[in-house]
Amino acid sequence: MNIWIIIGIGVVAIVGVCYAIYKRKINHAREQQRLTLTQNISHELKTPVASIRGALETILMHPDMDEEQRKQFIERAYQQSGRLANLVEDISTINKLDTQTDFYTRLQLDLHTVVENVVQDLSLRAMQAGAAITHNIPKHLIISGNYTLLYSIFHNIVDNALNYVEKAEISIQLINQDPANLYFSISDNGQGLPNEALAHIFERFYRVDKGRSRKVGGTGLGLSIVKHAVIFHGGNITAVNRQEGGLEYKFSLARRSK
Amino acid sequence: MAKQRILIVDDEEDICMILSYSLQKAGYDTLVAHSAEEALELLQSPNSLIASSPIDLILLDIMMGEMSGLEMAEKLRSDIGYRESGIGIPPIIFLTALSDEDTVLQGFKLGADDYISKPFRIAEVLARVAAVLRRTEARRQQGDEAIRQEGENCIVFEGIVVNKADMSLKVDGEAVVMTRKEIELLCYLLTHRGQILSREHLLKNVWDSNGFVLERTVDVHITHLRRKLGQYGKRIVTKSGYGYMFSV
Repeated sequence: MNIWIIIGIGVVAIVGVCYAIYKRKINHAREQQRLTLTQNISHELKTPVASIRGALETILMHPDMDEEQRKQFIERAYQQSGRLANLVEDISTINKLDTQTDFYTRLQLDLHTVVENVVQDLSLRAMQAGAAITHNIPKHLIISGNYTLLYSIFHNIVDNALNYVEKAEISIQLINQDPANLYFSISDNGQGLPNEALAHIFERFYRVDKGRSRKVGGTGLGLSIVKHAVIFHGGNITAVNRQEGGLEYKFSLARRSK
Repeated sequence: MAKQRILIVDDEEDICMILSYSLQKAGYDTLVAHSAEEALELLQSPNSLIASSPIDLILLDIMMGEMSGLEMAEKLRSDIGYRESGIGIPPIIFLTALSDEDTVLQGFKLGADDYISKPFRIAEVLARVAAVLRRTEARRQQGDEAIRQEGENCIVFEGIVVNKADMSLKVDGEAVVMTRKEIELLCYLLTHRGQILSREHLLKNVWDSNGFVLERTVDVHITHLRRKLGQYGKRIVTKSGYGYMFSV
């Protein structure tokens, strides 16, 4: 009998030690990730701040600057302050998703309404860009979820397509459903993305075209928020290049998530 | 004295505009590149190494598109063109939002002359630019002590003594017979030491030519000059495709 007790304790001890080592490794990796993210956030915030301060300092230093030039500097400072505002907003969202998910409450929502709202809100921009957004989401598609986050999922993906694809044709579709989950696809008819990029696009501050991203006021966090929001709703998401050309996002959402 | 030229490398257009404005107001000439790749093309083009328009300082961001500012600095250091020319890479000031210790140390390891964090105060950038340029100029003058101008017409470099007035050349004490053009060419090379001079440039400035003298003539004179300078002949360096240079 004694030998079994000893073996039993031994096994428990070994399992305990393995678990402790595993936990430490995970924590270290998470710490590294957090450090990198902190550095990235710091860098991303400092950049527009430097532009704003630089523009304003220049104006203050040269009171004899000509009107046209002064206007230019002021406009730049204003634009950059908008960029800064967007960044602060997105960083706050990511932070909450990271650390305080219970901040986001869940309600019974109709996804048809959510998607209709997104399309409605983006319709002016779509029209100006010569783009078209369509969807086939049926009415009364009920999900237990958070409105803001669900809205972000559909909004951010469509927003990307509008920004990076000329005269985009964007299609939002419910492609499948089962008792537990809903399956969606959002696709466009653009260039798609290089394969190496596909693996990284959901990473924070990852951009394929940095210059373009800045021009359209991108924060680099849009898709990261999408991914977090999808996970919050018990699903997962991937991006693939379509055979017929263009990019397709495929994701699932649980009807009931915790 | 010609205005000093500063190359600004940053993928943020606004920053380039802001820095350009203030630097120009402070009396510098500015050039802008929005990526490390673009900057390298500018720096490695013949125009940068040639007499007329060298770049005197680089303000370099770190986080940019494909190639980072750090990678660019490393590439410059190992660029053969700059090593051979004897000019040396222009001094580099990193100007970046990345201010963590590791990056700063790496910057200095790669030969940075200074490191400024964003957001920056423009007055501070101007002050540091001036300081680095002063240091670099002082260093260059120290190196120049090898060459002295004695009086109006006499140039001395190590064992070479050229006298423009009496058209004489002494190499390590020994008199060498020279033609007028050879003396003028040698003087020009010496007073523009460290700069690459194209045949065209030499034809215009030493021969005062309007096309009646061939570029081949320049080559022949260089050959004669090299021979006559004895051990110092190898100081006249050929930069294939670009021109000649007296290397210090």
